[in-house]
Amino acid sequence: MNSKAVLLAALGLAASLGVAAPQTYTIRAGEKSPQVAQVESKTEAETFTGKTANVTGRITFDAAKKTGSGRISVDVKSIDTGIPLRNDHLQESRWLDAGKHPAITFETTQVRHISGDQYRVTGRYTMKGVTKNITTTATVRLAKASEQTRRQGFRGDVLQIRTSFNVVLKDHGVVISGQAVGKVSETVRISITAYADSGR
Amino acid sequence: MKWLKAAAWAVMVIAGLALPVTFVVEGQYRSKASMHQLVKASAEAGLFGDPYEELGTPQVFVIEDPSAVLAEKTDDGVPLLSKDKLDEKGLYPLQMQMVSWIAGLARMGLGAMIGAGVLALVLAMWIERRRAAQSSSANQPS
Repeated sequence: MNSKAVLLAALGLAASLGVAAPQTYTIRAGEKSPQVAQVESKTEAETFTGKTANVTGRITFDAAKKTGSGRISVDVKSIDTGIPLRNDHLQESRWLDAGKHPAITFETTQVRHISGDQYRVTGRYTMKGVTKNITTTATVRLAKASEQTRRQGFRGDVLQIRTSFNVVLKDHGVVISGQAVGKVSETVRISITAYADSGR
Repeated sequence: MKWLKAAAWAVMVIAGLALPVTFVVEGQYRSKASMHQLVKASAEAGLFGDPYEELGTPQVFVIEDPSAVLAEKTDDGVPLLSKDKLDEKGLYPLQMQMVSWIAGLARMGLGAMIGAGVLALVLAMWIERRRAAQSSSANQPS
């Protein structure tokens, strides 16, 4: 048996045993983006949520070994709080300073499987140019390519990643002052639901 | 000083009548309010068995249209409130905390009006007494 035949046999055996290599998935933000990134502020006066579908990124996921890594980026300028004036304020230098820091990013440094589709994720969260390490729980689900996934505009297998965590604004140089005191909370909750496809 | 006393009484009466109204209105909203999770239908989430995407965390909403409340609940048993149905009917998902906050501000304002009325009344009475004292001393034979 020559080496080519051995390689083919090994590949065939691996495929039959269902051994899968880590796969790369892309989070796309288009016109009909399914991505959801939310920031929620809760005060005595009101709770408001800023949302954007402009989320991009790349995820590597090994379904067999239940591990992976990734980077997610959220476009700051597209965050919509439901009030145009508040959106404008959000972009200003004393808030998120979208001109200088157009993206909020999260990059994993460690991913550990907990159980089922739950993962303990540690990573670097960067907002307004300040990076902080955070640890949170994420739900990662995989849907194999099908007519349904294609109908939703996905190419190949689809990953759904859901996570949420709290961020202390002053840790990122955002100081609540003036009229915003009591209307914006010191700690906001970031929630992300991202869909990534393998593109094949 | 009659005009100042009349104005003070008018302000105090109006504010005094309006004050209980704030409690009544707030109570009416509260009777329609309960904890809900705002959601939006999501075909993409449906691929993974969830027909909805949660918007924010559960809150106490004033439910103006009960048909916007869905049959499904969160894992914690909180009923879902459809943002799509609210949008269809042009309804804003009104938060009870916002109603209470505004009612609180209104009460503070009305309380301040009553306080200002009392001060104005005291001032008017003081000026009246002072004037009366001045005129009686001026009328006394020297």
